[in-house]
Amino acid sequence: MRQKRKEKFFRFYLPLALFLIFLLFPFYWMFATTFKSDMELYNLKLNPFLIHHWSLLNLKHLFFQTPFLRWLANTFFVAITSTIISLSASLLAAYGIQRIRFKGSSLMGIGIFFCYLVPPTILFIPLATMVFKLRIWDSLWALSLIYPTFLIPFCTWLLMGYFNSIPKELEECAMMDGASRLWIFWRVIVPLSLPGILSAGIFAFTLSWNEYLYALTFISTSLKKTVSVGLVTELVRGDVYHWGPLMAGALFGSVPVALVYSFFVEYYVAGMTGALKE
Amino acid sequence: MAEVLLEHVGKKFGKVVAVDDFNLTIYHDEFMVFVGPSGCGKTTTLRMIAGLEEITSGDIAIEGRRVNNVPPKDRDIAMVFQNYALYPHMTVYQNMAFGLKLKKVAQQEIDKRVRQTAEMLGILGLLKRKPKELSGGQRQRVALGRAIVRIPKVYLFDEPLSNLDAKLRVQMRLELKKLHKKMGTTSIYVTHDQIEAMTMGDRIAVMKDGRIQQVGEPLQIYMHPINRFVASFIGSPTMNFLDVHVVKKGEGYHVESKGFSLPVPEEKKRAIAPYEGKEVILGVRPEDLSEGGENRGAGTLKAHVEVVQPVGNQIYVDVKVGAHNLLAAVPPQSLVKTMEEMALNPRLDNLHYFDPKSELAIA
Repeated sequence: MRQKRKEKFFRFYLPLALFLIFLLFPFYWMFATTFKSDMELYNLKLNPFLIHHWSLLNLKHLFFQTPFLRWLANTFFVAITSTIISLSASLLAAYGIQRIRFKGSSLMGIGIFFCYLVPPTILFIPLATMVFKLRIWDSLWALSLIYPTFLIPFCTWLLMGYFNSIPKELEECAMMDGASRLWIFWRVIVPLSLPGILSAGIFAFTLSWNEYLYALTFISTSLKKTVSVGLVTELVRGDVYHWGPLMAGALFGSVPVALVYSFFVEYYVAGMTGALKE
Repeated sequence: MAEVLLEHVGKKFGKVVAVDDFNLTIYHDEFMVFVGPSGCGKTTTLRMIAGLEEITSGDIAIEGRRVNNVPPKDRDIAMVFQNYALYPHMTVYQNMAFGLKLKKVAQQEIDKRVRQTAEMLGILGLLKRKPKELSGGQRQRVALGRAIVRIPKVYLFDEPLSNLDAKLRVQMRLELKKLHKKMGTTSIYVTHDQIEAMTMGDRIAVMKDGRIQQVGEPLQIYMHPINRFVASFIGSPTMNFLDVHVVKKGEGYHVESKGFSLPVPEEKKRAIAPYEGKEVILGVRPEDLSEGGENRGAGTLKAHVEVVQPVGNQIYVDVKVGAHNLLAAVPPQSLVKTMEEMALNPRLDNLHYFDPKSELAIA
């Protein structure tokens, strides 16, 4: 019995603990830096892992000397609009490719996957031309419309896998009962795919929330920036890093994503494993 | 009259022929069973009747109307699927009412029909449950109920009992048969289980490689299989086949092989005559081999018992007769023992002869 417990400790709990420390340490560092004063932060004699004197100065700097709340709102707007656009397109695309099986459907599936493989560093040059021509340069809509270029391929592939796990007979049965394709899609496929749709949505939301390159390229006005770009461009001045507010921004910037994950974790797991239970 | 007519129906998947020149009329109120091994095209044929699969050639007509290009919803048929295909996110009631709602039937009428059907199937108490809260048998009943409640012209069943355990399968078989007698709607049932086919079908269509081999009433097919395949597929345990020689003895013929010589019955004499001096395949059903005691006259086989398998109502005995391995089904009272000798008397009138090349029955 004791031997078994010991074995479990070494094979399970110890690796798990190390892994957790590795994963959570950056968050702790952000937290600790946020609540330290600059004096304490740069004092090499003090233990850097502990907070000796709690300070709210960094938060004050972040919230009152930068438009952080505006950046946060911008990021929300971009993440939500691009997620909605991507999910709507991906749902229809994945259903069409997976279920309607038109000529060239599998080729289209592979084509969409290849789109995902094109690096954004290559794509942003032609995209810049398009953004100029659409006259949405330096507008949040530029990001809302560009993010789906990488979100749609990803969500489509995820949903294709999920749709594949729904028995075809459910649709055939509905078809014989007199339901149209669209009706089946809304009343049978979408309700059954909720876990898949949610996990695709979470992914899309997170990817757009954290996106940096396009946001840096297409937005220049400070008030229109997203969190990821705003923090770096406004709190790193030349070679001066305002570590305190930077870390505070990073901490508050990651809270919404963490909340989204924790709320939907069950759906997320089910969505990733494509588990449909009758 | 909901008669289903299939004329020269064919289906190809690319270059693979799934169903080839399928001709069959399923009469009004008939319970027709398509039976055959996996991949014989029986489910594809059913799906073509349902409209879920396009047909490559030929015509399908339901109640005299050609339906080749009619979508499934306009064919007025209901299908019960192998995996039940119940909507997991809907309750039993919603599952059953689904088709009626789509047809825009009045809510009161829907409620009446769902409750009547549920009562008939003994699932009235389950109407508020979701499929995941039901047992296999209950799900099966709900799937049936969903089909029945629509009162279609034709019912299609795609191996609906294959996911149930053996005991429940027998029970549901009986209930389905009773239900059909009560409602009398044309039904087409697909199965790979020949016992299911025999017990349920008014007629059976035995299929192999996309083609119908034989159509007929269950006992007619059992007694007079048209070829070796049908003879081997219908009947359990399966028929014994032996390569034998036809020899003329006096006025009659005998089929002979190493270790035995059996007289050919008078009524088969004419058919077997052209095979004199040639080989034929002799078919003997295990249940047509009776234990012969000490009587070792003409038509008795001297057998060496190799394995004895009691199954309750019968004993299956694996024996060696000359160079041939045979299976005999003897009554449970038999005292037959492994490694002993026994005498077997085939019922000569029930023997089957097949042409070795075409494998067609010689009759």
